Amino acid sequence: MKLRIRMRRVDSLIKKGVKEVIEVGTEDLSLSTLKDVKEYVNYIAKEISEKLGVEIVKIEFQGNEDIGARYILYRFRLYTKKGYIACRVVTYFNKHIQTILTVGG
Amino acid sequence: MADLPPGQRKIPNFIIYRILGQPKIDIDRWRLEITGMVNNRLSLKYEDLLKMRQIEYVSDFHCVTGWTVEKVRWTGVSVRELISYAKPLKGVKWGYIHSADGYTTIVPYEDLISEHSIIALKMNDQPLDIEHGYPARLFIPHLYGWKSAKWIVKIDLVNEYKDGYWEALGYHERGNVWKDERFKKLY
Repeated sequence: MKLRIRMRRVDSLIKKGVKEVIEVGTEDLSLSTLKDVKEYVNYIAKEISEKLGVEIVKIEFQGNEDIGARYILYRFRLYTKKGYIACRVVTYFNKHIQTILTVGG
Repeated sequence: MADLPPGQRKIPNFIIYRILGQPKIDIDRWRLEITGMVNNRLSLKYEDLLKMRQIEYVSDFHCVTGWTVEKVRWTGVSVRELISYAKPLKGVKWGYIHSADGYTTIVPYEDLISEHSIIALKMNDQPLDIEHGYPARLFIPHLYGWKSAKWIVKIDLVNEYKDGYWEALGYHERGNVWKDERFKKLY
């Protein structure tokens, strides 16, 4: 799977305790079932773990919701030994369009 | 009344979001500032806005999560008119919006100064409730609600894009309801 990963600092989420955002884009990726989404998150978690130099000890599905009639937002937590990284996966007609991870301070 | 935008469903009343908490507003100290790429920086009191020409219309409110409240009566000051007093410089591309709670969002300049873009002071003929953004909120009917910042305190006119709160979490740079512009596509 070809991933495009971009890490950047953001000012607008500081009040929420978020210091860094990681954006993950993919080429055409179908995520038709929750199982597909979980497998995808497991895959990118390894990449994120390497990039950040932290061990991800557990991945937890938090829930999902429709955003309009075509988009679905899936929320996960990637637990490290010190806390967690929040992960939001968005699909459009079951195609992945973006993943955003937020890293606290 | 036109049909609903794609992906929206009607609900009978507003869902209240206060993602950064509800700010306490001291109306004597509250100001709306127009800053950035302007020749004439503005700092307006609530009473200044009340004295300005008020425009009024009925329009639906569309939340990006998928709900729409129909036929809300909005009253307020034209953003286009307000910004004209600030004498904007050439090259402005975005309005970066600040709220009293620390919330931020960004709006393309052409949408910010579009005909029905207002600093709303009333909803359904009543001053805004604190939950709806008292004393003033932005309202741009053709953009999703997260762009219509409550408790607005500053419009910073800029030429470079910068994420606001929800944009940093992947939401769209513009958010046009008729184009289903909910999220950015990253690839």
